[in-house]
Parts: sequence; C-alpha cells; structure tokens
Amino acid sequence: MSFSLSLRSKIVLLAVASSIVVLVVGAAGTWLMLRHVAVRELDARLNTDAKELFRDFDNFTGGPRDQRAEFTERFIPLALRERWIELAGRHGELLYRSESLGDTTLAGAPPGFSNREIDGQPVRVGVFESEEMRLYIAADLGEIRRFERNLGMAFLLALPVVGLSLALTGRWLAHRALQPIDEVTRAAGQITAARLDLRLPEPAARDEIHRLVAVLNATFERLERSFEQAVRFSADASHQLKTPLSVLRVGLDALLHSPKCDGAEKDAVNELLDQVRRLTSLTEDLLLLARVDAGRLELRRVPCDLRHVFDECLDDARTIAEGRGITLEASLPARIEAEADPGRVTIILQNLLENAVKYNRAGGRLCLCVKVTPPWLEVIVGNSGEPIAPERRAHIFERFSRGLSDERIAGTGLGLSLARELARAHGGELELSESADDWIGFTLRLPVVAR
Amino acid sequence: MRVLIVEDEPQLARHLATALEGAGHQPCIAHDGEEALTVALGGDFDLLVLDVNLPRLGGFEILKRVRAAHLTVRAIMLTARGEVEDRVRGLQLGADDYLAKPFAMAELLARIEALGRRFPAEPQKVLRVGDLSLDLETREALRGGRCIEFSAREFALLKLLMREPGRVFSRTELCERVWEREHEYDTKLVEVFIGRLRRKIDEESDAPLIHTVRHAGYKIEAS
Repeated sequence: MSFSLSLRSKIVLLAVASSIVVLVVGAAGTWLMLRHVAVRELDARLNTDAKELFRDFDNFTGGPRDQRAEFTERFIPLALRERWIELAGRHGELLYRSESLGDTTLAGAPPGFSNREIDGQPVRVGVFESEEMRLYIAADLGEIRRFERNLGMAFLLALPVVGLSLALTGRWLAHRALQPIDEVTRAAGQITAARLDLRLPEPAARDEIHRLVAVLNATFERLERSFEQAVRFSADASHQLKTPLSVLRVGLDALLHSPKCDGAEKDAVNELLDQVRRLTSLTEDLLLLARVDAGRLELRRVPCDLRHVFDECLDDARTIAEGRGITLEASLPARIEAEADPGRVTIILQNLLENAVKYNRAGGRLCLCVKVTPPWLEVIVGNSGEPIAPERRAHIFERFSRGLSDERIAGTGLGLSLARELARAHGGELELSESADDWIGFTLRLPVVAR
Repeated sequence: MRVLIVEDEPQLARHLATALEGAGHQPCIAHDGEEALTVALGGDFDLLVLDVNLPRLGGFEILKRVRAAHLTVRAIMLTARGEVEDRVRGLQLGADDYLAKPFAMAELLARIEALGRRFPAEPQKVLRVGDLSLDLETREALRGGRCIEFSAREFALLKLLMREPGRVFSRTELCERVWEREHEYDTKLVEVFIGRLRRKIDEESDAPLIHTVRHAGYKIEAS
C-alpha cells in the first residue's frame, strides 16, 4: 500500500509521525521531571516539619520524654495539624498518633520517604529518628496527583492539535517543495514525438530541481537530434533508394519495348522487372518501418467497410492455398465497419494470410475468423502446422526473424514486425494467441472507432 | 503534346524523353528546379512531368509559381515518397495527377494520354469489349446474355484490362496495379487469376477475348 502513496503524502506522514514521537517522548519526560521536583519539594517540607518538631520537643520542658501520658495534640504546632503524625518511642512503643489517623498506623513505613494510602488517600510518609524517638509524618499527595493528572491531560489535549497543525504545515511545505516537480512532470508530458522541440522550464533557484531539469533537458536535446536523424533518414533513404529503382524500372521497360529485344530476352527482362518490383516492395516495407520508428507514420483513417479488403486478401490467400492443397475456411460478417486505413489493413492481413499459407503443411487447414464486438474488431488467423517453439515465440515479431528456422521458406522476415507496428499505429494489437500441437493462431485487434 | 520533363536523375529523364517521343509527344528536359521554372514560364508547354524532390527548387514550389503565373499547363507529379500528405499537397497545389516512383512507363503514358484528351472522358459505368460488358457498380458481367460474377481480385483485374482494350499489360504491371503490394506468389497469382477469367468469360465461346501475348503479357481484345 505504501507504494501507492504519493511522495507528498509520504513526506507529510513521516513528518507528522516523527514529530508526534518526539512530542510524546518530550511530554512524558517533562511530566516525569515536574513530578519528581514536586515530590522532592514535599519531602523537603516534611524534613523541615520534622526538624521543627524535634526542636520543639527539645525546647519544651516537661515534654513527652517525661510525661508520656500527657503527650497530646497540643504539643503539635498549629501549622502541622493538617499532617498525619505518629510518634514511637525507642522500643517502638506508641507515644502519639494524630486523631485523624484513627486506627491506621504509619509504623510500618520504611526509613526515608515512601508513598502509601490513608483511607484511600495517597500520602507521602517521611520517617525521622532522634535519639529517643521515631517520628512518622505523612503529607497529602492529592495535590501533586491532581497536578500530574492535569498536566497529563493538557499534554494529551495538545497532542492532536499540535499533530494537526504539523500535518497542515507539512502538507503546505511538501506542496511548496514538490511544486517544481509537478511542473516538470506537466511540461515533460507535453514533449511528445510531435513537439520534441519543447524544453522544460528551468526553475529560478539553482537547487536539486534545477539540476534535474538541466539533465532532462540535455536528454531531450539528444533525443530530438536522434529523432531528427531518423526522420531525415526515412525521407533521404526514400529518395535515394527509389531513384535508382525508378531508373531500373523505366530502363527495363524501355528495353522490353525495343525492337532489338527478342522473345527469350523479353522473358529475362520480365524476370528482372519482377525482381525490381520485389526490391521496391522490400524498400517500401523498410521505409514504412523507418517511418514508424521515427513516429511519422501517417494513417489515413476513414470510416469504411473493410469487407472489401478482406475479400481481396482472402481471394489471394485462397488461390495460393488451393495450389498447395490447403483448405481455407473463413467466417466473416457481411459488413466490417471501422475507422481504419484500408491500405495498411491490407498489409496486415496479407502478411498474416501469407504466413498462414507459408508455414502450413501440405493438405492442412487455414482459418480466418472476423468478429466485430465494439470497441474491437477481432481477427483470428489460424493455420495447421508445426507449433512455434516456446523460446522462439518472443522473437517472431522481431525484424528479419523467421517463424521457423527453415531456410527453404522464402520471405524477408519483415512481415510480422510490420503487421504488428501497423496494428499498433491503429491503436490495436497483434499477438500470437495459440501455438499448440499442429495449430498456430494469431489474433489481431483493431479499434472500431479511432481515438 | 509538348511536355517538359523536370527530373534531376539524367538517366531517368532520358528514358522518359525517349518513351514520350515514341508515343508521339515532343519532350524537353530540365534537370534542376530553377532551370525548369525559367523554361516552363518561357515555353509553351501542354504538360509538366514534375519530380517532387529536385535540387535548388522543389517540384511543389515550381508548381506553385507556375500556377501563380496563371499558366494553364497540366502537371503530373512524380515522387519518391508515396505518402498521403505529398499526394494531398500536390493535388491542392493544382497538380492534375500523381505517380509514385518507381512506376511503369506504360502507366505514365496512359495517364498522359488521359490528361491529353481535351474533354476528359465521362466516368464510365459499364465497360465494353466485344460482346462482353462489365457493370462497374454491380460488379457483374454479361457475355452473350450470360451473367458472370467475379471475386474481388478477378473484378479488379478484368476492370484494368477492359479500361484499355488492346493494350498489352506485362505481368509486373498487372501485379503492381491490381495487387499494389508485392506478394510472394505474384507471378503465380496473375496466372491463376487470368486462368479464372478465361474460364468464366471465354470457356463457352468460340471467340476468346483474353489473349496471352508471348514474352510480353496479357491483353483483352475482340478479334
């Protein structure tokens, strides 16, 4: 899930989480320290009280040392009457106990200071000793407890408020920090094959984003140059290749019609003309691929009934198939309406059907099935024959790749690659959909409506 | 017709000139764009055969300037780039026809012939050769009261032959014009389809219309 979070959310979440941890630790520390200080102060007050009491006892003649039975409340200074006090003699005998203690005794308290409860009320007990007696003084801890509670509550209440404001600040900061990246993304999105001359706007601050933009712009520069070279190549090559072909074509035509050319020579010239035509066609395929690579393939998409295109291609395929004893089965709807470039669709179909004949076995079957289920036009071309080995399947759409490593089978090895590129240029796809025992199937999908 | 050939490849220009002369025209050659423009504006030509890709001044530019000078000369563009945008641009600029390189000389001559007629022929709905008629809309043929139906390719092939009765079409030209793209079984395809047309048209007749011209190709002609 964390993978789907945007960088902005991640920054905010991290900032808030780490701040809250720091806050909680800090608050807990403060709380513990304040509590410690308050208890220490109380202990100091208990200490003072004890010293005062001992001094009083020393100064008071006729005090508890002599007349134990008469040791009563009146020996306790007014200021200490809200404390709980218990006095024990040298042997542990009870000399005095505040009335408010009732039956509770403080005598079990360990030396030094400790906490305990009197009637469910938290108290701090200090134990002090002089030569003749042991003094227990207890003070109310309620106030400190209330202070602790209030402080804790205040921290708890502050936490969400602080957290929320941190989150908001974090969001704003992240937004500010990432805004240049958003701008880079937007600008980069507009740089397509059609607008490779555009560059990313360079931010004013010479920071990390500036460096990123500089690197990206340099990359786009190189991309544009190589793209231009590819475009120029396809235009130049077109001219450079087709001019000699034209000379050949026209020259052979002239030779064919010259009176000096007799029958046998005419046959030879006709053969040569066929080869020129072949070379022209190969050149055209290569140039078409070069244009595809340069992103300059122009499709002339028109709403049309492709049935005619299918009929023509099937007509050829059937003719070739019959010659090799292959049965052709075709199932296609009466109309095949689509927004497509009929010339390019012809190339795709012709290549698929030619392959299906070429890689078929003698006496085999060839199936063409067309289904129009908007938004797709689906064409399945299947043929009997040797399946394509799994390790070769990934390569059959590569240029100059031949389906079977059978040198006897003629072909340029451009057909499937070109067919796939043309299908993709239409916004469709061409895939090997089946390669089973004695059956190979290709599925062509073309969008019915141009997008 | 006085024809100005504007083509920077000398051999191609020479072949074109020879062929045009052979067809009874008076050709003249210009090798670069500027020369061509001067000659075209100065001379009285009926037709320009313009290469698109020329040194110094492109074919489109020449056409534009010629049209700007209100010359009513006809123009056929030759281009290496069989691209849609070129074709559209050429026709928008006032080219009368367009031929992608490489082309069959016979096709160029046929197109020049078509442009040369003072009144362009009405688009025909029915083609006739002897007692065979082909309806271009219904794609059906009649011969001696017998109705014949054709497959897509058979029809395209027959239509091409019947447009120019008597002309010999080489196998290569038939391939180029009916199939457009190269097939690995070109030659065989042409033979098979000619064979089918023969069966459908000539089998029950004493006077065959489709003829094989040895070492040259095929033609359709009423004997």
